[in-house]
Amino acid sequence: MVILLAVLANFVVTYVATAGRLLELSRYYRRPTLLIGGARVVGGGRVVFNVTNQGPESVIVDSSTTLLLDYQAGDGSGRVTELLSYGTSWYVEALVVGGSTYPVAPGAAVEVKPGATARVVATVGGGIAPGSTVILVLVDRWGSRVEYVFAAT
Amino acid sequence: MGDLGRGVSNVVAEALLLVVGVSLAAALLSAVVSRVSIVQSRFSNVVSELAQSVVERLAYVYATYSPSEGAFVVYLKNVGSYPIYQLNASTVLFGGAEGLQYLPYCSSQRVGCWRVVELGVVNNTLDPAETVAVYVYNSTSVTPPYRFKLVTARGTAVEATFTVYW
Repeated sequence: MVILLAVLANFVVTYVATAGRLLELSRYYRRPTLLIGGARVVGGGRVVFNVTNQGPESVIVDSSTTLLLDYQAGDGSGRVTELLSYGTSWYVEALVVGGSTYPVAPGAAVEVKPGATARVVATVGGGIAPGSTVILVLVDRWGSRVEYVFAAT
Repeated sequence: MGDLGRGVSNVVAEALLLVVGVSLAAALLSAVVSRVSIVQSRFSNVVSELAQSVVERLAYVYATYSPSEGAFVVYLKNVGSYPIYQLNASTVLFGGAEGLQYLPYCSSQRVGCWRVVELGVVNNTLDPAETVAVYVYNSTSVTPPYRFKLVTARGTAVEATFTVYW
């Protein structure tokens, strides 16, 4: 009887472990899917772009979100890879849901629901060389990553 | 005399039964302990694996080459729930299409090794949501795509394949 219980417990543990892994996997696939679009350089040192959440889960954009820019410096000193700080060198300017635009206070945390778009403004340390390639990388708190490349105008 | 003989045989029979009973109980106990030990071991493994997956999670952010440093720079972010201590105790492999090569850790710029630079609060700890830059000073020429793999002291791995096209 006791052996039977032990064997049953063994099965339960194995089942729980497998179910846990499947749950973790399903969470992984339910992560937000972010898409960057409409990126442009404004005034030489500001980058404006849109981040759309095309996944099934909301994403919080705040200081735990990483934004990295790789660009050609305007002074000809070569390429610069810059990690920006939320609320200081980049922020969400507005949230666009359908045809409505809701302004967001600079530096405030924003929840981007599925289907919504955040309009982001980023300011780099130096100027960006016109016509050069700019790379944007955005990674949220839980590892959802999006990369976008465009030419500075 | 007959009663005495019957009494002795009863005692012997009871003693034999006792020995058999104790033997059976010992055998049963041994089997149970063995099974419980297997269950306990598996449970312990499952719990430690689950804890590991929650405690440490690293994500690749970006990689590039820095001509001024003479190094490939790989940006990694802690996307787990807890800090990662002693990132310099990690194992780093770097290479290209030829394969990966082990690189030792160094605290300063030196060919053939790697070092880590914290980009947030410098406290020798990779806090949750913090990003670090890993500088890889490879000593041999490698053919793209470049491959990078870091395994922390606790066994969490993060790897990336990338190219640098300027």
